[in-house]
Amino acid sequence: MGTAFQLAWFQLRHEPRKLLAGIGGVVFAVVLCFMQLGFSDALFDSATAVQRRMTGDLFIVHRQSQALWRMTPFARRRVQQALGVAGVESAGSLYSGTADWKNPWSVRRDPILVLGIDPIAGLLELPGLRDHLNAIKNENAVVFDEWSRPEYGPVAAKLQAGEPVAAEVNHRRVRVEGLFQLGASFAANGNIVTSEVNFLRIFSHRTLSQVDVGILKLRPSADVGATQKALANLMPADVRVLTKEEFIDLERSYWKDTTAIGFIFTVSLFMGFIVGVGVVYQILYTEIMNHLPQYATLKAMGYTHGFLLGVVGSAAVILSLLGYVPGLVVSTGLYHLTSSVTALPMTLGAPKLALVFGLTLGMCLLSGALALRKLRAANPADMF
Amino acid sequence: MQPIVSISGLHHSYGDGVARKLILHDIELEISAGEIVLITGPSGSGKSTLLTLIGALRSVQEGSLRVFAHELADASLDIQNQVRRQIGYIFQAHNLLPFLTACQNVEMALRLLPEPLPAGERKKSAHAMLAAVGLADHAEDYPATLSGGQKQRVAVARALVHRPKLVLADEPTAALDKHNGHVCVELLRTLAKQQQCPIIMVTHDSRIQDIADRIVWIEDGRLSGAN
Repeated sequence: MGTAFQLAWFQLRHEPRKLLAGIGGVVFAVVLCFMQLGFSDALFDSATAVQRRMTGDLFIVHRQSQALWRMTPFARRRVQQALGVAGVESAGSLYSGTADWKNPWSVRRDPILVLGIDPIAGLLELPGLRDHLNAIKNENAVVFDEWSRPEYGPVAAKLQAGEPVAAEVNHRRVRVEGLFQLGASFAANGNIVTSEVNFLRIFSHRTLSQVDVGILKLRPSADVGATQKALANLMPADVRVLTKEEFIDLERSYWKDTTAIGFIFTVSLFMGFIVGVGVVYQILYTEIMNHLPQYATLKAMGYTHGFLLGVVGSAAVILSLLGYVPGLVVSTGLYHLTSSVTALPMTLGAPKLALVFGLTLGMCLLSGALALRKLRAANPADMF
Repeated sequence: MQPIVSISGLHHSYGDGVARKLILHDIELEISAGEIVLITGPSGSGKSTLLTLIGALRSVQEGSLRVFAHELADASLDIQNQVRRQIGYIFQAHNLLPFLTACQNVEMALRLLPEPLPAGERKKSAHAMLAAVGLADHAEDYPATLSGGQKQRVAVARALVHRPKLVLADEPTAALDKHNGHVCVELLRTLAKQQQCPIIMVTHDSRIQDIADRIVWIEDGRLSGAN
């Protein structure tokens, strides 16, 4: 393998311009893969942002619930019931639904996600929300997500300028009493938080006894797995008890599986992969075609076909390494840039690094395998 | 003393059925250590086919072909490779790897020794061989910067550096002018004689026939010896 690797390196190095073009192609593919994965992760992260901000260890949801914007309500007494299980310290309820927001300036209507909570239970840790929890106790008072998209109107600007803001939600007049920060997700481009009572005023067909999420906090000494099992045994089959991770996964897989979003990202990732395969194949293929008589000579000298496979395989590995490293550097820069421009949470974790490296290596080896079919032609008996 | 190559009843043909073309017919030939044998004859007479058969580059179809006491009829790939590693091959084209220096090209033959040399020894050995073909000053040059004659001399060095038991040369002068062709073949002869290594050379270049111990004429796939 040592000789094969050396030979591959000398061969690639001999034509620096071709090598640079090849590395450029791999870098492009690597960056494409990193960006697709980054966007996809960031969007799925933002889609599950509310769940992440819920301060609980276990969650009760209806068995048919799939995503926060279209939850199936269940009996509130299930949440009270949970307090009977050892290890459960407190239990709170959350109401959620999608309402119709009428932009007070343009009269345009857009769907908005409405969350109803008990203001004193501390169920949501959204930045900025804490200061306004007292205010939403007032009738028809809501807190508005200042990172909502602009079509909801200049709510934040007006409010910060000291002007009162009133809007219509589900044909009911509400006052915006303050701002918090959450951001748009797949489900809704804007969010408001209010009290349970105000939530029921906005959704007039809903009742207090039917909730969407039960948020349970456990005692520090309690075992999450054991408590989850105990709760599941206690609860009837119409509800499920989920850990925070499972609750986040529920929302994530809803968007991934029931919409084309996951598929679109998979396709883009595949495109990056194909570009890489094409570029590397082109290089390895021309190397083989340009050196067929020499390769045949090596075989006549007693080098095996396996040795030549090793040369092409090594060239593939070298190209993937030389392309991956600068590709990673470029991607790191682009991640920072994207984060600062779009406020999407773009993070490079070890699993992503490993995944893209695996893809790069796979892409180069696949090109190598395709190019190898030509190597059979390096038969000294046919050549000389 | 056992001959290095011994061939008897060797037939070879290309194609199948009606298109079948007999290339070699009932070849009988023995070559002993130190002998320089020229195989000559018109184009398409089967010279190169015979050489590739002896070089274990092609499978024997019918008859017996023994090289270094290995029977090549029905020989495994492993045996074929063992035989190839003990042969020095020179082709019409130099076939040097363009991305390796002259020295590195010569070293490619040394890397196949059953007991590998340390890198330093390997380099020294390759340098010595290049000096013997008059290229001491060009060891670190890439083939692209060498002349045609120089390149073929590197190929000669590569074919001899691992002290093969047999040298096979297929039209080694075809791409060279008279002077360079002669220099090249002379070198091959001198060095092979020093190593007691037999040479089988296919050529129809009458200018180099004076180096041969024996000339074998081949026509329409049949041998006729001349001494």
